[in-house]
Amino acid sequence: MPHYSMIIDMNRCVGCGACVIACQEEWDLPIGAARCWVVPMKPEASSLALSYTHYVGQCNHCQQATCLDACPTAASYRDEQGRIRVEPQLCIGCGYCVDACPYGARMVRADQGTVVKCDFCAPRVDIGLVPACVQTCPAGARIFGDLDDGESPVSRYRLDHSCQRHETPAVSIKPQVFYVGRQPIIDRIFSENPPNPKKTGPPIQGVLLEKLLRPGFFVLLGVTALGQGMDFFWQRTKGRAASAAKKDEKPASDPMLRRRAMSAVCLHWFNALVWILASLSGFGLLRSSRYRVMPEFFHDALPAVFGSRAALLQFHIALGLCWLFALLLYGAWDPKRHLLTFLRELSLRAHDIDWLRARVRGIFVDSEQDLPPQGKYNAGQKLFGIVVTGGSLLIMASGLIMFLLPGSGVLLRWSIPVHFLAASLIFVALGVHVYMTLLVRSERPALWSMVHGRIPESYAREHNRLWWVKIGDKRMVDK
Amino acid sequence: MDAEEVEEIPSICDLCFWRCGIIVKVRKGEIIRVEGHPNHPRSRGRLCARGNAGRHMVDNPDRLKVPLLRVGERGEGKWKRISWPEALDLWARKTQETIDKYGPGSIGLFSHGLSSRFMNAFMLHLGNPNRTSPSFGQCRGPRDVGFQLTFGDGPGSPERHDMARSKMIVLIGCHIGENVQTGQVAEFADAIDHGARIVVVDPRMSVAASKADQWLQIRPGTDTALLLAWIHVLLAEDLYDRAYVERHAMGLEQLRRAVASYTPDWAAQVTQLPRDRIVAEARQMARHRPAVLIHCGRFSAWYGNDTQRSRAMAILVALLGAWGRPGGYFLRSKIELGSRACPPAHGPMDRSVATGRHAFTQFGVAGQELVEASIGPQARIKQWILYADNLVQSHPDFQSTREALRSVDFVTMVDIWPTEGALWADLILPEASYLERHGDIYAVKDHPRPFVALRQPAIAPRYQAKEPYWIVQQLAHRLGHTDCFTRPDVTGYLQDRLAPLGLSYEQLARTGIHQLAEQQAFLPAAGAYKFKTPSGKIELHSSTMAANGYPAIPAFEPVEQAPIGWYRLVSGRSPYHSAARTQNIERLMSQAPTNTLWLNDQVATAKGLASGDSVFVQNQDGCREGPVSILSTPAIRTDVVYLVHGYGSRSFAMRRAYRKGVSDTALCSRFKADTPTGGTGIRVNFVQLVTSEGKEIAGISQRCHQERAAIPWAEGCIPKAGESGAEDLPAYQKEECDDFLEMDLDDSC
Repeated sequence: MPHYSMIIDMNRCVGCGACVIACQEEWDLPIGAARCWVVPMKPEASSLALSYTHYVGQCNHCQQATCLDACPTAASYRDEQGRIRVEPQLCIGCGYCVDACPYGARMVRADQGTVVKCDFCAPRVDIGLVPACVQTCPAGARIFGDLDDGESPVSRYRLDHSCQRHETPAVSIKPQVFYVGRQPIIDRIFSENPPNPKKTGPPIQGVLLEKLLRPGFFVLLGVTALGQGMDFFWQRTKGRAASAAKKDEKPASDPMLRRRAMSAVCLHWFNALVWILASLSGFGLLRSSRYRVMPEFFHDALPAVFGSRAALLQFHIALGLCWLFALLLYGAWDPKRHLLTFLRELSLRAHDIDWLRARVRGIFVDSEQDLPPQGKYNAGQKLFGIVVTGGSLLIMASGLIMFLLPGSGVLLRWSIPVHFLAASLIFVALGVHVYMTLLVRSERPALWSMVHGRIPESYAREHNRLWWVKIGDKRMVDK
Repeated sequence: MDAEEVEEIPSICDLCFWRCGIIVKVRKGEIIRVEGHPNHPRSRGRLCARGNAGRHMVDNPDRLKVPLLRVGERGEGKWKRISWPEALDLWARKTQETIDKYGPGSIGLFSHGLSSRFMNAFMLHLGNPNRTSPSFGQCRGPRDVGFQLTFGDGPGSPERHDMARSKMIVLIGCHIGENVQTGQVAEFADAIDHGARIVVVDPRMSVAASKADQWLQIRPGTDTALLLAWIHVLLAEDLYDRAYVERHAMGLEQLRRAVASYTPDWAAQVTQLPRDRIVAEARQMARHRPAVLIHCGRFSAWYGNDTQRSRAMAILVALLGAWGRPGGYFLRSKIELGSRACPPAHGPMDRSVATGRHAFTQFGVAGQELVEASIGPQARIKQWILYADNLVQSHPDFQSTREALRSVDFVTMVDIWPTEGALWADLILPEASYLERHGDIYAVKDHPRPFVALRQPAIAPRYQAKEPYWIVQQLAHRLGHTDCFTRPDVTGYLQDRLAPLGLSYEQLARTGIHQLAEQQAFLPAAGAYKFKTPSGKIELHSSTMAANGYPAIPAFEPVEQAPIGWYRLVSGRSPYHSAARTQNIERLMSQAPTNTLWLNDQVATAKGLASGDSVFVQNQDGCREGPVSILSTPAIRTDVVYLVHGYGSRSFAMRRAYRKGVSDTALCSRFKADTPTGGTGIRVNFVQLVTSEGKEIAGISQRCHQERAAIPWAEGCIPKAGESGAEDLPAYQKEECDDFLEMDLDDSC
């Protein structure tokens, strides 16, 4: 595999900027966007150096690049030829990588909201051309080629020119662009334009995601898993005796009560499907080693399913849009019932707090305790509902920002941790939800109610006593 | 990009005189990219910033799109659309009226570039010699004439420098790098890489100077003194190429006598350069000769003594044996093309305008003579044609230009940009941009392997823009000159031009470039060579100059030095811009959006100014420009300020360029004509730094101290009485001359 590299000879360079314009034209960049630069430096005539020179630069394709893992979606990658590139279809323009480049070699282009940077003109080079800047340079100050090929222009140039990396003790990440020039000139260029040691990692939002949210997600998963495990244990041991005792009390006839509309049942399973797919694709997109929550093999396997990672992103976006559209449709269908009643049913009351206390005590302290009577939904379900509803709103908002406003700056930068936080909270809540219905035997009727919309009266009397009392005589209507 | 859909059309660039080969990539009628043509002998696939951005000439929203007729006052910039037939009929009628009444010589043509050749040919056919172009009078006229007088041939364009083989390169006021011609920059960079000795003579440290082995920070206006001293040393120390001079040159003894007094000690005084440095560089030249390139520069209308400076350069070249020798200048090749579009004039030339002041001016009449002859009711010139020449930005003394523009009966402008000139024109005709038109065959004889190149349209002209051939043909035929432009289409004409080469238009259209066999680039090793001078030799002593009343051997004429508190205004180039032609291209403006005023840092400090501070600049005639940001730097002498030329457009119709930066031309309200050529020396303007109210920013008046510190080798800061530069502050006219500003009457666009 070639190992591409460039030499910029400041003895030759006259700072004419042909490279910059050629690059902008080659890649049809909007005004203000550039993948390389020629910055005139103030002409100085001191005894040390007589210089009217320029800081010429671009992505250094560093061997120890700091930008790569700052990218949440791994849109930034190193290709097999050692070039650091950006897959625009995966880039959402969050600019985390921009903050992680000490040379300032990346920028978000305003028109498309994606990151632009030098990729050594990979598409040109791959068909046998040289990069646009190299081809056009009137001074021949840019020398490009394969370092592993002894006959390449760079290799030959290195033989009789002393090449230097633009590094400092603070930032030493092995750039693959080298500079040639008289030492005082090179010293001046380097010392007046040092790599920024503060720009070697993602911005605060990325740090938050990496250092707090991702570990937090794992901790939360752990805690709930532990809780569920203990709960399961109690249910299996002590709960068995209780249910055996109750078995005798079972009435001969246990009529079924209408618990929810079939539309709600449908929506539930639609949600379930969306969540499974969104979690898989969403966590699959979060590929960078800094932020990832899924193992490597998962990330390797997923694109195979979707064809490409860009397709995965498109799928994730399409899924989110479908979901949003379906929920909006559902809400708009019957706003009173689907929105107002729903929200009212979610609000926590005093008896809900009592129930919660008792339930948690039940798991960790005293599994024998009786639970206080509940309405249509118990506090656990309400809490789940609140988390899921709130989380969903955050997910939609942050997702829409990422989709509609790529490259929008701070808002977009915060959207990523918010999206992750909301998704991970819901993910954890869903874990509890699934556990309850699948593994807690006594909740089985609730699972079936999500199929036909009804529950046995005995179950309602026990689990939703307040609701059972409230609906009173009407409860037999659906008999 | 789907390669199959992309059509590649070879052509030549038009952003500067180098005319690099280009490949224009077109997809679905849109130019998507302009790239270098790899086979072009002088550019080899390279392009500068401007060339790379060339397609934005085509898609520029402000370009002229339809023929326009003035409806407001001249200078007001109010027009209405008219059709091409209407426009051409009107133009023909006005032209016919003027010719009938005042003769063909009453039309003044100001033109620039390859596309204007058709109009020039037609004017000659009419018997009208009254035409001029800034490329002569405001640029290379004095240089060309100086070399022609010496060698019988100019240095060519692009210049016949054999820089690739030079062992020593001397740049005098030439700032390669800021002034970008691809092949030249390439050879300059190679020379640096190969370790050629580079000497740069410039009051300002240019990019080239910063790369040089020696930067000679010369006192402005004294270059001829330095050249004469170098000649003196070469002769006095017997370091010149004796065999070459004996074989090819005449006038050595006269030269020896004439330069006897120009000793290095004298030159050190005059130029404020160290004596030993002057001598050392002369010896270096001798050591490296003949592979020494005394670069002839290009813009040469500096101080009004420019032909003599050019002569001094040419003589130095001759003494080094560098003309027609490797590493110096190579000889001109020959290309025979078919006849031009118009037969010669039927009658004699109408030479009633030329004053005879300038013996060697380009077409017998200098630009300022045309301007003068256009002013007043008795004016000889009644009608103007501005053909791709933005006179307001290219010609100094804009007051006269403006007066003339007010005075003439009819002004027609053919251009692609709505320049300042457009605001004053009665009739505006949109020409196709260089990517949409043919030009005359570009025949490059200034190359050892001469070649022809074709400018051809990559796309059809946008809007209602037209090919130059068609425009002039339509005028000519309307005036009844059907013996001109006989080929209905320009391609037929180009075919005629190419015929002697055995080349068809289609062949050249396919390749863009056709290189001929190598010709004799250097003087023969033995035997005689006849130079095209009256004597057939290199004329160190020019009898032609003498016959016309000029010194036969250059003598040093002191130029007025900047009075205390005043700074000589010098100007130069930005690599992103071609004079004033590219400032409306956003791609380029985003890299070089404005110009800054270079000011010596000690002067700045004394005035309490620092880099980035805004000032106004006011010249000796009270013309004021600004605000402009200061670049405070030790890289310029204390008596000079520097601006990049081309900024500060006053045409509100060029929205991206309008009022961006400041115009050095607006500060060149006076010039000193170079007598032999009529070249307008513009480095005779002095400026002060002022506040927005016009109050001088004086600072601590310790100029003597400053100058001593900046130039440690200066013997005395202020020359003794009687020497040049000792004058008191001249009694400048203090009248306000915001006339230049009057040109924009309406900012509303």
